[in-house]
Amino acid sequence: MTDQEIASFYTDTLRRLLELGAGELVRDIESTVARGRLCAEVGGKSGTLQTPLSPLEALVVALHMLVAAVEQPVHVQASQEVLNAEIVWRFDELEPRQLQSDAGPASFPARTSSPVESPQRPELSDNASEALRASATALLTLVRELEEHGNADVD
Amino acid sequence: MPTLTDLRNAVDTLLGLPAIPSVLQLNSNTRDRAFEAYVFSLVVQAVRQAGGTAELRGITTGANPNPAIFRGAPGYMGSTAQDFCFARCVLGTKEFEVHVDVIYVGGSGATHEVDVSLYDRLAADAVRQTPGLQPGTRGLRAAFECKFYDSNLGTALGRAFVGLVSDCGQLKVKDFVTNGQSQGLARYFSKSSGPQAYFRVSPLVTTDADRLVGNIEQALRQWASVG
Repeated sequence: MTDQEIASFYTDTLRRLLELGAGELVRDIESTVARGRLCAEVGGKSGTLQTPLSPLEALVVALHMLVAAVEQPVHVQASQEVLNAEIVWRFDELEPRQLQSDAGPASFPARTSSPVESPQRPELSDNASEALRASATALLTLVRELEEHGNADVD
Repeated sequence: MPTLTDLRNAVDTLLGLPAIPSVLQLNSNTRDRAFEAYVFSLVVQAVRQAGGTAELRGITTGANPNPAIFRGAPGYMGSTAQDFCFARCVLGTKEFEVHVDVIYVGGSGATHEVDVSLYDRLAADAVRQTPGLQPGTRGLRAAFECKFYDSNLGTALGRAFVGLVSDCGQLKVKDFVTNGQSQGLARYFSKSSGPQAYFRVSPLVTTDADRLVGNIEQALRQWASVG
């Protein structure tokens, strides 16, 4: 794999994510990659100087973050299997704060909404859930192998 | 070592799934909460592996609530505004509970939001029976910081967690758990005699999750004097 091929793949992947509506994820990836590595984290003295990531390191970061981003249904599924119950989230009426991120309000209902409202989360069929799990596992396995062979361990 | 074609094919397959657009549009706060629930379930699994029992309970409905309701934001252990769930556990002679997103009052008087926590059952009962009482950290036995992999996974998070646990008394388990990885954080925790850090904890490739469960199990066995 040449650096040019890797950089092209990285750019193409981010473009496709944008097309799928994953703007927040793309911003997270870009900010992480742009941050590079602090000198203190590569053996230098502490400070704010940063080392840019190589194209391979940037790709590894992007793919790790992609896998993590699609893990939510898998996390829910795994938890439900252990707990033997469906999982939902609701706000505490005593809790005055509303979750807020840089990209806007969280997908959970605001506390001003009905207290019995369910959180927004994808309702996946069993087949869709299994397909997502299998695909994400395959990608994660490849990325970890790449990382181990390419020594692309990055912050 | 995988080739670029392998990676392209894997990404193509993943992004080609019909469910992907709706999954990708969840924001990171939503994903944070799902990761906390996953870590909660790993702690429950560790209790069971140690030979203990763990029963899911709703604060208003009692045993085996379905659905199990988790907090959408940190809240109070005694709140009955929703049927928030927790796990009631028995291991050897120890009785304790596992909670998600509860606010505790530290030794300094400052409040701390603990993502996943183990708390003595008697102390938890007292909190629930006394409206307005916030749990102190005297009955707190374990604290888990759960960090979903996003752009903020830096060493500052490690320092914040070390500060939190230093105000929480004698914890038997204090773990920083993330599905991501960070060389800087790993280096930071390697120098610390305090919390343990667990990276790449995921239900997709479970090697690291299994290690976390095994280590929690061992710590609980030691605490509860279970062979």
